[in-house]
Amino acid sequence: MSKLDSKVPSGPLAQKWTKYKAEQHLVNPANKRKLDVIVVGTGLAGASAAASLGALGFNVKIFCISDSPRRAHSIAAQGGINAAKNYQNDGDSIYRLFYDTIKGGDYRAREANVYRLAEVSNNIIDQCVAQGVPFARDYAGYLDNRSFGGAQVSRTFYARGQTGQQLLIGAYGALSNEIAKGSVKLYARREMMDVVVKDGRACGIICRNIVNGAIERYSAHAVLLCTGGYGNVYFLSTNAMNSNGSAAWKAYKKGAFFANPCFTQIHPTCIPVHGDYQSKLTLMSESLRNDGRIWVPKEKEDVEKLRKGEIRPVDIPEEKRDYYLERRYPAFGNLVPRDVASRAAKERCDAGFGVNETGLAVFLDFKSAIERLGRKKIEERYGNLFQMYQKITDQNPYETPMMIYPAVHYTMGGLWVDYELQTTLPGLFALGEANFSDHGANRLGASALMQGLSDGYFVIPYTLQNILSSHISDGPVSTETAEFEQAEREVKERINRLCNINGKTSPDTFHKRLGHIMWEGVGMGRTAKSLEWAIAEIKALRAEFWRDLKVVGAANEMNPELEKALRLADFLELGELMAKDALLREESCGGHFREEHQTPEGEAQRDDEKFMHVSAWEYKGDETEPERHIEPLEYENIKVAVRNYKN
Amino acid sequence: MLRFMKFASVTKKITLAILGSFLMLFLLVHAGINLCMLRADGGEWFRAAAHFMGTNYIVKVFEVVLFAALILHILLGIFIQWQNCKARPVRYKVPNKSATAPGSKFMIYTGILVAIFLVLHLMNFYFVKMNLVEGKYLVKVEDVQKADPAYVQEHMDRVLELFQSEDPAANNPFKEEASGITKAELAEVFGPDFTAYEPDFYSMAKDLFNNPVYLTLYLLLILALGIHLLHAFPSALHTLGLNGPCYDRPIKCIGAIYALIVVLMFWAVAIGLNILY
Amino acid sequence: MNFTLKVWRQSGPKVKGRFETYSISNISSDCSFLEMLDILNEKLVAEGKDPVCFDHDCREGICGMCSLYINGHPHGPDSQITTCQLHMRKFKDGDTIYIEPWRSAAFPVIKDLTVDRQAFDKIIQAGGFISATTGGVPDGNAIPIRKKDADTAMDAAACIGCGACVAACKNASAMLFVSAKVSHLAHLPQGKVEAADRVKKMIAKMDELGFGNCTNTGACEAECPKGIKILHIAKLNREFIKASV
Repeated sequence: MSKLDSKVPSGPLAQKWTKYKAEQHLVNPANKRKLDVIVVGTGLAGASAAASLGALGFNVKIFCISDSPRRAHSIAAQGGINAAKNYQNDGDSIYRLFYDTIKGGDYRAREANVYRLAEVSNNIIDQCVAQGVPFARDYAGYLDNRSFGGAQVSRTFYARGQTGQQLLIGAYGALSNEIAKGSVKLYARREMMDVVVKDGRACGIICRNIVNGAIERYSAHAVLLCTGGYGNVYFLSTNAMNSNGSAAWKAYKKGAFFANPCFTQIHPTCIPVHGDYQSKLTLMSESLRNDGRIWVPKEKEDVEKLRKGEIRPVDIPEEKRDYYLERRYPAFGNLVPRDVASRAAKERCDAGFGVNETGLAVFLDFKSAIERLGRKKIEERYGNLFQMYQKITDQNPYETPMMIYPAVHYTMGGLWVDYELQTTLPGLFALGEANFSDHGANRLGASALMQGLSDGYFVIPYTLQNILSSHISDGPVSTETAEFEQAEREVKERINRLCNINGKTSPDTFHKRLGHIMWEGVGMGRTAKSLEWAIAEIKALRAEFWRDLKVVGAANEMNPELEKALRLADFLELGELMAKDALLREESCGGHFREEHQTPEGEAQRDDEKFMHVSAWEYKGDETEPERHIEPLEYENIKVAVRNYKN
Repeated sequence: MLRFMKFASVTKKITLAILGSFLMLFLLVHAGINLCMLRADGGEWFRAAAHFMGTNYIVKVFEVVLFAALILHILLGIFIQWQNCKARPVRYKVPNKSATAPGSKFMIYTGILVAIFLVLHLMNFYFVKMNLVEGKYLVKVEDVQKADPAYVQEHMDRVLELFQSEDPAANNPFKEEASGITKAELAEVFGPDFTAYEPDFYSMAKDLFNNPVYLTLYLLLILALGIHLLHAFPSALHTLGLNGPCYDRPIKCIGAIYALIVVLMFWAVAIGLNILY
Repeated sequence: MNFTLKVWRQSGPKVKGRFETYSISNISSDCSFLEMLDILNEKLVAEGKDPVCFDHDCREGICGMCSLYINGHPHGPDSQITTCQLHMRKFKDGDTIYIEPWRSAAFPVIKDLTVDRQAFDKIIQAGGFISATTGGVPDGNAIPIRKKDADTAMDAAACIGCGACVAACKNASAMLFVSAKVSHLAHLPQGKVEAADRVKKMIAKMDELGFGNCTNTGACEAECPKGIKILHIAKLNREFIKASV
């Protein structure tokens, strides 16, 4: 039997969470004061968890990599947050949100977790409104909704194109309230370097103070990792520059299993790459697909002329345009899930229909929407996105169609967690994008915000009590133990080692090379060959990294080069695990597309027989291959079917 | 003072704005009275107004309030500036090029210029009234009896000369009041104990504005005042919270018009006196 | 494109800083300003020199982390953008570009162009929130909010806390930042409950931290990457007066 116990409560799906809450252990207020909790990361999951736990009375320490909790990358989410409120009376329900999420995830997510997510989604909206999140409203003063990919109802709540920002500011406000009250202590500009484990339990973390390079120890009864995803392994992604996978990777190396590392979301609507100096890719919200139509020319000669600049996109008449999403998926049209839209764009570009000089772009056109709704309405809906596009590309999207191309955006994979969000390392929890639990092989738009806040506000405050109830008499956790001593020593040694390679190549150069390998080998379309190639290349690159890295500056000062090197060292290992996981998953599902496994029409072909499971990797040492564990997925409340967005 | 320094920044701003608003009202009154000088009546209206302002008890109370407001406004302005300098101990190498409201960046400088002007102005006019500085004076015909009769008798020809009407065609060959008299002349004609005279602001102004150096200085300093006012008006309303999306533009327009009117009124009098009389 | 860069270098908070001159060539006009600095840093690293330290994160104008004062403008010469959204096409070939950190007593320099903006967090902690704890809140649609109010609240809430307002203000005042939060919450029924307390506490904290006084110059509004209007400062003043009388 598998080592993985998901701890999903028994009973009917809709009753599981209620049952759990009814039967769980609680910690009384006096005892909560005796329990320390470390939260790493201040995004939606981290800030909401710390605020909620602080309000409950736990002693919370929260760590952020930036100067302020408000900078976390949740802030960049544009489009919205889903909830099953059914305010629109369009047939939405908790079950339907659950169903769409499971289906959108291509039947690779755990039923019970997703149902709970759908269940608490409504509370999230209420909570955010109470915090002063200025969601869009209609003229009657009630909350407005928009539709998003992968759903046939309008269930997405939004605050212009800055929903993530507004939700994060709400959580940041709640967090600030707790910091002011003293129940949460904030440690800014700290980067987690390692998890400390004592007697098989996580008991604290080692941090590097980014300002002065000091290595610091912090202890707690529970450690919550809310550190986001690892999309930056591709170098070019929509993630922030400081987003990294190190916290999760350290946890993996200390005994937490890493689940589904190969499930990466490639977002269809990003601004195309335009030069090798480029540092990151900018996402254009998925909400644009509500009104924008995606197309490429039908004829190659038009493509040629476009690339040479002989004609403008608007010169191509309607009948010579190929609205390929509408053609292939009549039922969902431009609103198919992200993985489907991304692959369709890749398919067209691979076939030679890419519309810019690099051949890696398709059009997102608002002409018909502007004609239908008027420019003012479009400006109201997407004004800031259009402005952003224009600032970056110097083109006016009101007059000429946007050019977009898929880019790495989100990682569905992450630390394996059970129903209580605890990893396989007791005392260590993972929330939000850092865990793997809710999105299966593909995340639907506007669901990341939902998951982060659900984990932080409404799940962890319950499950953590259940776990910590058996630790109320543990007493304070000391940092003066052999385990902390050793962890600190290891961190210092690693930093020393990186600083003293004295090679010739900068971390960024290595990172770009890693990104290239990952994109080519473990990108949108993967083959056994490309994955094997990637594994070999990454190994070689890793060896070169440890031989030829150059880190200027000292360890005991603010040193961005060292920070990059530390993160990259972990990416160089993580990338290999992603490729390995992708290689062993011999099927196509969601964001994981193995070219060997596709239908004659080019759609993803799942193999439910062999792969309807979560793969969870156990670290066995640097020189030993990791072990792949399996958590079988059972669908009792949903009929597993081929995803069909055609009709 | 310590208590005051601890007031919230917004409280200080609001105080500054209220004081400023009061001063802005006063400026209109002052400019209005000044305009009387332009009437070709030999200063009759102006003298009447000045007489009222100098003798009415309510106005006298206001005078105290006005000076208090003025001093507080200046002190507060300087204090705020000092605090603001402290808020940026290291300056930028490249001076800030951000777009700002007209005049708003120079409030302290235009303020200082206005303060300098004020000292000059007070010395020229107000201090005469306070008997701190010598100026020119006027004596009303009915007040002549308050003088020592011996002196008046002795210098009757001078007295008659003083009250001689400039208009030979007038019915009454004598004026209601004699103006433009120096202190020495007063003592000489009405005796050293004579006190029933008033400062003759009209004559003093006429003399000053006919001095080209003074006139230029005056015009420039009034311009500084205008620039100060250009920002003062919208800024005061803003600070008092009396601004919103619909009022923003009108307020700025009214502010500009107000500043322009005040400047033009003062200028008109200065230039007018120089040219006309 | 080629540029001469005059960059403020300061190795630590207590150390005296100075301008260093670097020349950089072959920069694409599509390159963003921070990418240009990346290229400069790669060059410095190759020469074994200390790269220029600057704050940055999302590079899409929303996290508020980047913070450079470029040729007399916070976030550079373009309007309604952050430094990461500034592109080199906004400069002329051969330009000399001065890059300075935010200057304010409340934002001490940590290293080179990186400053410490925790003062903003402290202001928020003084009251820039609605103190609703998790759970026990009414349905999101229980209290209708006038669309106009929700929109105005959103205008103010767009603040990214970058500090450009402080950097641009001749008085290094944080009024636009504080007013954005006060106005955002005061426009919503949920925020009105604590409005009086909030505005007083936030202003007291702002003063305590050494920010200057607002003199309504409007430089903050001109440089705010999110186009937040100083009308929110008028709203703050109104709230303050309401709270005080």
